Amino acid sequence: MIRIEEQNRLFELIGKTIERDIDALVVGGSAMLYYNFSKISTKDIDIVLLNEKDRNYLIEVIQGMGFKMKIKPEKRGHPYVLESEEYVLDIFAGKMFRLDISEGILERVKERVEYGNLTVCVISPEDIILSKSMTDRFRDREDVIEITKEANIDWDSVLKECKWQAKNGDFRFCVYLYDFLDELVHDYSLKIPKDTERTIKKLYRDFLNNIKTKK
Amino acid sequence: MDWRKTAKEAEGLHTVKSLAKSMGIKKSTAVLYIHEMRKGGYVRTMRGRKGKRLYDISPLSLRKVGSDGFIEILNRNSSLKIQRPFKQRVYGKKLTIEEALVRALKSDEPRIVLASLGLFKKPLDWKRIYRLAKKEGLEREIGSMYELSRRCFKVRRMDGRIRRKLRDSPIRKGFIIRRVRRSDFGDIEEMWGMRIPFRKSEIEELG
Repeated sequence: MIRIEEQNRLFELIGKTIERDIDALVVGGSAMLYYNFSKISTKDIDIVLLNEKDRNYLIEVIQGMGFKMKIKPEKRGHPYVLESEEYVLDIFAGKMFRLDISEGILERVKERVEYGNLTVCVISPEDIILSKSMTDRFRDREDVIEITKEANIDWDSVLKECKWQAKNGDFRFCVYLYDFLDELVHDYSLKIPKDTERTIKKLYRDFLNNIKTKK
Repeated sequence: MDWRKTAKEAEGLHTVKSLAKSMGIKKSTAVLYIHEMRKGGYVRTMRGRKGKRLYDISPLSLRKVGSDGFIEILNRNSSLKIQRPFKQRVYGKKLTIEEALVRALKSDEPRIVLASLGLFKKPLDWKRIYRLAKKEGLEREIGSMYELSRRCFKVRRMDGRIRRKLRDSPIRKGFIIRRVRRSDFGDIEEMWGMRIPFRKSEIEELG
């Protein structure tokens, strides 16, 4: 398991090695480490580069540091997975699974940490929830419950981003989010404001109606 | 008692009185709550009008990673404050005032550049400034900003050799802030070959 100190050490090493300025977003569990959540370690470090060019350069540098390529992505939005003895690094570019990196996500960034030439942006808890909602891992569900228990979530931001993603990214985004939250409400007794629940349900139904109309 | 839960319920900006009212407790109990929540890192104290204590309560805070970024240094040292939606930190080294000054100039944002004028009031290491300015190709910018600050408030004198080196720089960008020019400081513009983007009144507010 990787703790914040180890993650910082790795980012510092990368920042010293790269020769030009690169901005990256830390997402998922790695982003949670920057907050005072109960979670203090993560299995892998997830970072999202803003474009493919930066990702290719970073991968080249990281491989030079002794990391081995474990998985190459087959689809856009999937990560390159690189591994060393201590770390597992998931590197995305512009998109994390079904979540596109939007202007909204960049505007909601809570902290920018400079590690030499590498600047790491920490996404907001609302966007951590969105990034975790697009996976099927059990651990991600527990993390989202932890976030909602320990912080006051701005559900309006979540909805706004969901609408943006459905319009500009993956048009099925609201369906995935609805399924994810519905599961959490029933299995983990997650409490969401009634308005939010209604709106997301409406988005979900609208999506289904649209499909039926098209057929 | 779970103080994070209490902080979650009480999230927002409070005085002791408003916290007591919103939670339905006595003022003395509110003081105790603030004390306990502060231990957990959920409370930040600020001063309001007439020095009144304001408590910013939030269950969520960012762990301190590294040291302050250049915006925080500007805010600490300049009377003009910059508000950003995100915090800036630097890991692995501590930024000096000189580095903050050069980064502020590099940002090309009017309010940040104006706030950076306040840094000239602090004792600066001119050699270090020259080294950093040369690295970034900002010699004339630094020189003209120094001249500007000397006109409007009390500033320590720059080493003559450094000043000459700054003025003799071959790099002439012409503008401190791209395509912004005011006409209050024609002589400085002529001396340094730089367009000054501020009015005299704007700078005097910093004093």
